[in-house]
Amino acid sequence: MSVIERVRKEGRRTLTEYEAKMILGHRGIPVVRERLAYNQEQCRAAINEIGLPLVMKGCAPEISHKSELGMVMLDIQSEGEAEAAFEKIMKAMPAKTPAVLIQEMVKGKRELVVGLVRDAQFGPTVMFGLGGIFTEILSDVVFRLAPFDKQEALNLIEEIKGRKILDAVRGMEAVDRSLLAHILVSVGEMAVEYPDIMEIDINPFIVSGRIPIAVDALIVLS
Amino acid sequence: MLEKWKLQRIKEALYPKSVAVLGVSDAANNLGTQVVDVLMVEGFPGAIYPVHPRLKNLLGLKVYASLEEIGHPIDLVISGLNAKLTTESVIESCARIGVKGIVCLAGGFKEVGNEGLQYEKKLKEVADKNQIIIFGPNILGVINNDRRLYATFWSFKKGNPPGSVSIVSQSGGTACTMLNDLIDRHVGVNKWVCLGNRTNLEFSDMFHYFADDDDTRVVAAFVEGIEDGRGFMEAARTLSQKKPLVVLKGARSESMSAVASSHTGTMGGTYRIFKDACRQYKILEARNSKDLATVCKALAIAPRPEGTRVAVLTHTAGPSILALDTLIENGCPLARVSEQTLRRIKKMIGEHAPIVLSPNPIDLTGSGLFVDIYPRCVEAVLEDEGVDMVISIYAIHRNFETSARALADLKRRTSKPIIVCIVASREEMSEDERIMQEAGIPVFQAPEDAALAASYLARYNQYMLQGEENERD
Repeated sequence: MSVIERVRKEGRRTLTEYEAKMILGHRGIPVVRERLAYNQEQCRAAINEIGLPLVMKGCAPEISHKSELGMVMLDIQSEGEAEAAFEKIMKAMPAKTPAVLIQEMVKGKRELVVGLVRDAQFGPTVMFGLGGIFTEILSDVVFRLAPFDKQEALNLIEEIKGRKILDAVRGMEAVDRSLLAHILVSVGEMAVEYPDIMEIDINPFIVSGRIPIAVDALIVLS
Repeated sequence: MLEKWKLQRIKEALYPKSVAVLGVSDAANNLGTQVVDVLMVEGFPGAIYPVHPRLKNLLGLKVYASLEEIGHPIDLVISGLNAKLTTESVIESCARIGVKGIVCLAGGFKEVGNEGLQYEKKLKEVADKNQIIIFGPNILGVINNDRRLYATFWSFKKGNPPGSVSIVSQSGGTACTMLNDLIDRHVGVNKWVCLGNRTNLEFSDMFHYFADDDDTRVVAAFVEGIEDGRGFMEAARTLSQKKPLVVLKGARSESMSAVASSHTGTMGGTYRIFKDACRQYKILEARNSKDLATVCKALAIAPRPEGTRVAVLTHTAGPSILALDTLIENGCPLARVSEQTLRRIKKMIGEHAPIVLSPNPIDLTGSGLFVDIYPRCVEAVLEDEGVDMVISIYAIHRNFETSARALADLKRRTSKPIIVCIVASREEMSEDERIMQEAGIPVFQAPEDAALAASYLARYNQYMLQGEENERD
C-alpha cells in the first residue's frame, strides 16, 4: 500500500513529516538522513546510525505545528543530550502513538523553499524561492504552472531576485542548478500524477555544499 | 475549449451588413438612442433598424415595432434593454430570426447576485443552443473601425485613424482609456471589444479570432479576473506566436479582487501567479495603462528586430542616460558600437570637434542639431553589425530644420527598428511624429517610453526566437 493510500485509510489529510519525505525521496529529491524512533532503544540505534550532531522533532499524525509546541530541538551534541531530548519530546506529545524523528543536522547558510499549490484559477502551480524565515519576510518567490520541463525550471530559478545566492559566493559553492531544476520538475509532475495532493511545502531546503537537502516537508491531501 | 462556430460568429458580428438597436426612446438621453446616434455620427455604412413598439421615427430613421417586423436579415443586435427583458424576450427573438451576435449593454446580471446569475445562465443557454455570440452583458460596446461600426452608447473623441492595434477588455472604462491614449499618440485602433461578464465570449475566443484577423497586428488585453487561467494562457500563447499580445492585469492587490467581482462578476485571483505565468507562456505584460499604450504603439509601428541589442544616439546627454537606465532596468541587452563606427561618426561631425565618443550612448553634443549631420550618424550606428535597434534622441529648435524627414527616408532603406525620442512639447513634436510614424518609426516624448518600447521589441523578439527554436527541436 502506498503512503498516500495508508494516510487516506487512516482518515487523515496531512502526512507526517516522515511520510512526506519518504514520498519526496522516492522522486529523487534529496532529503535529510533520518530515522523514526518510538522508544529509547530505537533512539540509541538511530543516534549511532545518523551520528552527531542531531536534530530531533516530535512526529505524529496529530501534530502539525512542531516548532510552536517546542518539539523541535536543534544541534544536539551528545548522546546524553539526545536521550534527554527524546524523553522530553515524547512526554510533551499529545499523540496516540508518539514518535521522534531523528535527523542529521544539515549545515548550510542558504535556505530555499519549493512548494505546490492548487490555485482556483490556474490549477497546480509550483513555487520556488528563498526559504526559511525569508520566505515570509521577503516573499522572494516565483511560480510556474505545472507540469513544465527542465529548461522552464532553469528559467524559473533565475527569476528570483536573490538568485545570486545560488552562485559561488563568500566561499560557498554554487548550488547544483541542474539538481534544483530536477526537484522543481519532480514536484510539478507529482501534482499531475497525484490529483489527491492539494499542497506541498518543502521549507527549508538547506544547501549543503552544492546540494539542496529537504530538511522539513509538509504534504496535504484534498 | 475552442468552439469553431464562435470564431465565425465573431467575424459576422463585427462585420455586419445590418444592425438593429433595441431599447430606444424619444428621450434624448436614452441609452439605445445614444447608440443610434453614435452609429450615424461614425458613419456606419450598413442598414440601421431602431426597434420600439410605438415610436415611428427616430433621428430620421424608420422605427420598427419588433425585430420580426423588420423583415430583413439582421447580423447584429445592439440592446439597451434590461436583464429581465433581454433574457425573457430579446434572446428568443434573436434566435428566431437568425441573428449572429448581440451587443448586450445592460448590467444587472451575475455581477449583482443570484437573480442576475439566473438571467445570465438562461441567456447563455439560449445563445449557445442557437449559436449566437454575446458581447457582454454589462459593457460599453464594440467597435470595428474597419467597418465603421461603433456599436456603443459612448461618445468617442473623433479621429481614430485606420490602425492595426486591437483591444479586448473586461472593462469599458479601461478600454476607453487605452483607446484615447492610442489616438492621442496617432495610433489607430482597429477593433475594440468589451467583454464585461463574458457570458459566452471569453478572452480565449477573442485571442483565437485576432490570431487570424489580418487587419490586427497587435492585441492589447485588459484583464480583471478569469475563471480558467490555463485556458486563458494557452489561447494567449497561440495568439502571441503569431502577433504580439500585451496584457494588463487589474485587481492585482488582494483587496481589489472582490471589487473586480462586483464589477464583472469574477474575482481578481492571484496576481503573482498570473504575472509569472505570463513569463512562462511568453506573453508580454504591461505594468499600467500608459505603458500598455507605449508598448502597443511600438509593436504596431516598428518592424520586428533581428536581435535585441539597442544603441542610443543623442545630442543631449540627460535623456540618453534615462533611456539607458530604463533599458537596463528592463533587462534589455545594450549594443556596443564598434571603434570603426565611432571613427566614421567622428569624421561626420568633424575631426576637430572637442568631444570623445563613447560606444553607448553615443552623444554628438551640439553637432547633433544639424540636419546634414545627425541622420547620417543614425545611419552609421544602424549599419554597425553589433546593433539591432537604435533609439535616436533629438531636440526641436525653431531655428534648425529637424531630422524627421531624413530619418523617415532612412527608415525606408533599413529593416532595423528606429525609435525616436523628441525633446520638445507635444505640440512642437506633433508634425515630426506624424511624418516618422508613417515611415515606421514610433516616436515618443519621454526617453523612458522610447526605452520601454525598445525593451518590449527586444523581449517579443526573444520570445519569438525561443518559440522558433522549440519548433526546430
